[in-house]
Amino acid sequence: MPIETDIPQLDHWLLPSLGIWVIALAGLAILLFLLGWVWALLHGGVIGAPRLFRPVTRRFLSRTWAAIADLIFISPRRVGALAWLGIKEAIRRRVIIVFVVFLATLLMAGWFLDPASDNPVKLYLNFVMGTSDYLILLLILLVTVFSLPTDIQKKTIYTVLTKPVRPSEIILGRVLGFTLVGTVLVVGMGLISYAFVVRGLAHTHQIDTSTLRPLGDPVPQPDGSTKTMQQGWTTKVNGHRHRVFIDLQGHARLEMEQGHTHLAQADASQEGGFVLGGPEGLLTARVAKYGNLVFRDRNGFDEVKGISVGDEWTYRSYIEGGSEAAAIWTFSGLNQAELAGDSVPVEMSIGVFRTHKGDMKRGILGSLAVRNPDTGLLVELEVFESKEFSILQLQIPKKIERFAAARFVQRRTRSPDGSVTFSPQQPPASDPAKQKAFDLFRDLVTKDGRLEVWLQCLEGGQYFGMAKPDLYLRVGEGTFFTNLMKGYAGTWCQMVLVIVFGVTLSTFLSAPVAMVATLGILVGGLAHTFLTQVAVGQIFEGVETPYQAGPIESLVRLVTQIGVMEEMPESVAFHVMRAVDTGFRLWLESMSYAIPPLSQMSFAQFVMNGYDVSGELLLIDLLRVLGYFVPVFFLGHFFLKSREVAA
Amino acid sequence: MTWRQVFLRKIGYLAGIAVLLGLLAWLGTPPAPSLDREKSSPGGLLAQVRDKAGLTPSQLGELDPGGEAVQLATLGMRGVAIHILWTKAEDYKKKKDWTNLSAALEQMAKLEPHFITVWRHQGWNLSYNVSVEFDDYRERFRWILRGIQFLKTGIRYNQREPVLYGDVGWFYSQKIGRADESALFRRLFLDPNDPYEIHGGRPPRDNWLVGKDWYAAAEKLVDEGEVLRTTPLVFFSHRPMCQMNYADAIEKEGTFGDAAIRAWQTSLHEFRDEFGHRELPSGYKFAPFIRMEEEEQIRREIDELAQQIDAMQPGLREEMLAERRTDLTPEELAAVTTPAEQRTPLQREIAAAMQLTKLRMTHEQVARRIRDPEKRKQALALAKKAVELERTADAIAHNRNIINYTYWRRHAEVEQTPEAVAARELMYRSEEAYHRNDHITAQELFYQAARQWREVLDKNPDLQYDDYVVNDLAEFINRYMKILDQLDTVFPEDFALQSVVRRFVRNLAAHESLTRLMKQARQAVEKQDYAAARRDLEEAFQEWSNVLDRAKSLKLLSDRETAREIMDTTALYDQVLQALNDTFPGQMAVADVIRIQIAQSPQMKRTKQDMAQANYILLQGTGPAQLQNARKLFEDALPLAAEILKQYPHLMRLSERKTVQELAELHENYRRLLDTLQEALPENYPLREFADKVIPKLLQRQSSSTTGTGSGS
Repeated sequence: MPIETDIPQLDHWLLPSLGIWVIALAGLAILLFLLGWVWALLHGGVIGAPRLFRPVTRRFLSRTWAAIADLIFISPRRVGALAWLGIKEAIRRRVIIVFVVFLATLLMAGWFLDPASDNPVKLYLNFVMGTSDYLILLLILLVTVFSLPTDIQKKTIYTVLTKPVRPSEIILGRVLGFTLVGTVLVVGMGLISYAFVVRGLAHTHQIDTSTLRPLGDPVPQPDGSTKTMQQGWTTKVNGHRHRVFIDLQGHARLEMEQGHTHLAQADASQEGGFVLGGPEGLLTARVAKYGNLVFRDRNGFDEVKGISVGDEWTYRSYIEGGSEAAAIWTFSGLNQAELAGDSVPVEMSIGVFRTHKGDMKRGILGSLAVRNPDTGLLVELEVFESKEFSILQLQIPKKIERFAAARFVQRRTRSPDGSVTFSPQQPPASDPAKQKAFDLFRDLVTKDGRLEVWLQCLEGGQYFGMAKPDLYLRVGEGTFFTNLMKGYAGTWCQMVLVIVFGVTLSTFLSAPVAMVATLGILVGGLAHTFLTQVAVGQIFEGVETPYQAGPIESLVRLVTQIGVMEEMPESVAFHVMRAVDTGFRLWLESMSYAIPPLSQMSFAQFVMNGYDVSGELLLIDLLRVLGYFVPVFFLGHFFLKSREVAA
Repeated sequence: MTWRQVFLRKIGYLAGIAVLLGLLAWLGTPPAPSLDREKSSPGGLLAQVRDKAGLTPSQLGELDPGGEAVQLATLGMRGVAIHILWTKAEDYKKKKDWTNLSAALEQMAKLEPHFITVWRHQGWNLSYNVSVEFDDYRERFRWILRGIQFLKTGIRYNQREPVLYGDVGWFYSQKIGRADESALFRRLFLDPNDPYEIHGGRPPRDNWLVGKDWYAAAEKLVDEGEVLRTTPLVFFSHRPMCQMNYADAIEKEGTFGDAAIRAWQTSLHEFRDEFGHRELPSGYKFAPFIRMEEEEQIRREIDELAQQIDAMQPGLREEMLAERRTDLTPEELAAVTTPAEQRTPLQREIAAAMQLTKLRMTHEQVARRIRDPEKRKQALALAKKAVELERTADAIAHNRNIINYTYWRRHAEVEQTPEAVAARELMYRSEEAYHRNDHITAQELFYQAARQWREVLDKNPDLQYDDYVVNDLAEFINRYMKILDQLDTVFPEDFALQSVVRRFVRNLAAHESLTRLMKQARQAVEKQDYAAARRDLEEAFQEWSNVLDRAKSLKLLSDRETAREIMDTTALYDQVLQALNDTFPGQMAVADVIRIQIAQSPQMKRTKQDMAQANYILLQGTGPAQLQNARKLFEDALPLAAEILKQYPHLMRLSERKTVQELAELHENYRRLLDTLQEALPENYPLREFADKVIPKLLQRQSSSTTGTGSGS
């Protein structure tokens, strides 16, 4: 199965995110500065004696500068020493216990994890990654929030504060120390998970000779004898068995089952005459290149979305068969050197929706075409038969000699005023239909490396459904181990954010309150998508409803039994309710920006579905960590500094 | 508070704790079974009650240490966990994440192994809702089996729960045997290699029979005293119905002869002799338990009692009936006096209503009118008994209706006869020949099948009045229309199932309404109110169009009598149009029937043949000999054409354009031939009136319709 979330692209993500970040940071800095200033003025008795305004302001400015200087002149040596202190504290708090819990959970997992499931890899990885994620995050949360408050409470902090140490160094040291301990935990759990999954899924079969039957007619051999192909089954292991084909040369081939097959080697000493290897293709890390998806409607106009076939889950959009409708993926940055081999594999997993039974014995027919976005040349490569919930691989040859049709196709866009724009404007001088062969990179990929892949459904009254990640170019293959570790890198990033928030909140809150606050951030971060949906009043994806998901409205609707699709009677109370709810939602919206999107930082979906976690995604995660670290660290520094002064 | 008070309060707390703990021990001590009877203990009160009610986990089904451990691990939050898992399962289903859905179901089952609803609901979910999400029928089949497997796991933990066994039976039988893809599913189910490992190494067994076995297991549990959490009537009918469906399915797939007869015989035995004699709750307090087969016996007893009452004062009942009939309106009287099988649907309703109202006569009423007091007393006692029996019989009849008992019993009785099996075989072979594109054989076999059905109907005349049978056969006849269409022919005049088509048509509401409209139209014609007659007739044609939609075979004259009725309507309409000096409108729904009727007449066949020959000769060349030969053929055809016009005078008012066009073509070709020979049309030209009056109208209509289309586009 492909990934079922929108995958961010660095070039699309970076600039808008950076813009918001800079504005938010500047706003925060100015706000803090002003608040500090006002507080200093009030505290300095300026109201009673206005003449003190200047000296108080000067003192405030000098102190602010000193605080900023503290931030800038951090001593790595002291930070290192404090980090070591943090490590020792974490070890003293027996963080190692988490391994015991993890191992015990894995032992119990055998009762639930069914290796006979359709997709055991997904099941196993979902479990191990989910469990380790929660365990690490909860443990690290407890360790971090209790650390500073306990020190302050027990006054042990003075052993540090009496030394020439800056608050920023204390925070950074703790963060660094806990991060180092957490890293060891993450790596350890990653290694245990790897061993658990590989061992849990390792299996082999034997060819069950009693099931072997001749396939087809006997074929005469040069020596006068005859041979027949055979087909049969392997023995059943882990709840599945494979169909076996033995050809005339005596080579055995096993059909895919549960997403894997086994290699067969002839071995006369074995029962059945073959020895079968371990599972092949089970633990994969496909390197995929994704494109941007747009739709073409039945009249040939570009649309952002396709048709809804009434599915409750609006993730996929559908295109109508037997019409001009198409799904168009535009890939960019393609170059010949990056794509080795004679052809570019394209993999897809599309939904099928039938409005009539059609031929039930086979799938729905579709066609795959490639188009040059600049010249409008479109080459129909092949017709394929759909198969839902599995990955179908087709090839785009670099030298296209066999194809169904070639023609010039313009993309049409209708603007809101009704005017139509065509792309490209001019048809080519020569008729593409007369051309006998095409070169993928010369004729179809543009100079800046763009290529369109068109998918159409060929049968009238039937529909294909797709979302952006459903079709991609398979540009390589990574190793499962590396990919699993990259998956754990996502967990690591989440963990660092929890540490940063935990340490910072504990600088000015008591331990239990800091724990609750960090837990709130953790839960909010893991449910970030839902939080954002509630904040913008779109709780039902793709459904038009008068319900705006505010707390008061929800309560009123619950009590008065007015359904979410029903309009509420307008009155003064209604408007007051809406206004209050809007206030709540605005607050929630600002919170949704402040709370880190932890759910989006996990790579579990990629790893368990067998997709490589790209460097781009890792970089986005690291930038997110850095983006939150900087302001939260500043805040922590100022809080601790003010607290120290107050003490 | 003094020290002493504190001490006493603590003592009080301790005593309270001790009492509560003691109570808890008394209630909740677990049983301690031992081989040594003296050492074994039945446990506390709760354990004993559980044991008595058969609710200990070991009595319910297999024990699962893993599941127990997980239940304990939830620390009493099992309900919450189940709720979360259920919501998650729904979400996984919505997002088509089948791997996680299966895992969530597995976890739910571990947490609540004795919660029957979980097994039933989610088993259904897998087999019915998840399976259809797949486009590939093999995948669908696999998920149906998954649902069944899930239920079977449920049975492992709840070995004495009849509904779970019943559900497995239902999925095996109905889901596989009744789906749109049932033919494909059954092929997978019966695959000798058993790739889905359904039959556990044994030879494949039909899905209906496998379903039946599971129902039998469920029935056994109920008979042993287990509680049945569903309607017993419907539940117990499933097993014999599986056998019935099995017999039906094997015939559909081409198994006939002794095997089919045996299958139907078993069906009848299981349905009538076993299910029919099973004691079932009726839902009525006055007769809490009934047997399906007892209705006839009870009705006979009631009849005997009625006869005894009647014998006390002969003629009294008829006298009373006659009195009541005087209260009926003429329409009601007609409905009541028409023999039951000849009543129209409306008459059937009226007659039934009259039996319950104006004509209702209880045995008690009859008894009360007996003059002799002694006899009256006896008769009243008999009447009381009869009323009681009648109520029981009605209760049985009501329950029978719920499951259509009488129809299925009769169905099994008839289908097991060698004639019916032979008829089914012929139908099957005809269909097979059609798929081989051997349409001639298909047609022949179809007619044989129809004759065979006739034989079955003649032997079982009551079937002709059975709406189910009539509908079934009408559908069969409609299906075979495609063969006739391919061969460009119509049903023969002696088609054996014409009466079935007629019965089917007469049962349609549209037919009833058109009969009324025809009657009104005739009356209007008599009164010379042609405008009203025209309105009624046009409405009648609309109803005919509805009839033809349902009984498509009529277009190919599957029942000549009904086809004649259409012609009668046309003739009356023609009469009205003649009076109004108008022609038929274009696009009449019944035009096809009129055209085919005329095309099937020997005159029209001959005319067309002559015309075709003449045209062919003229195509070869226009020498004198050829012109003469063609002329002779045309002159042979012309009187026949005139005869057609005389037989179907409505053609003069363009009742059927295509036929009129063909005749106009005949006239035109003949006229051109005479032009070539430089001759005029003869004095006694048979088509003169047609040429002078009808052809100009036809041309006019054609040109106006062309212009109309042109301006429209």
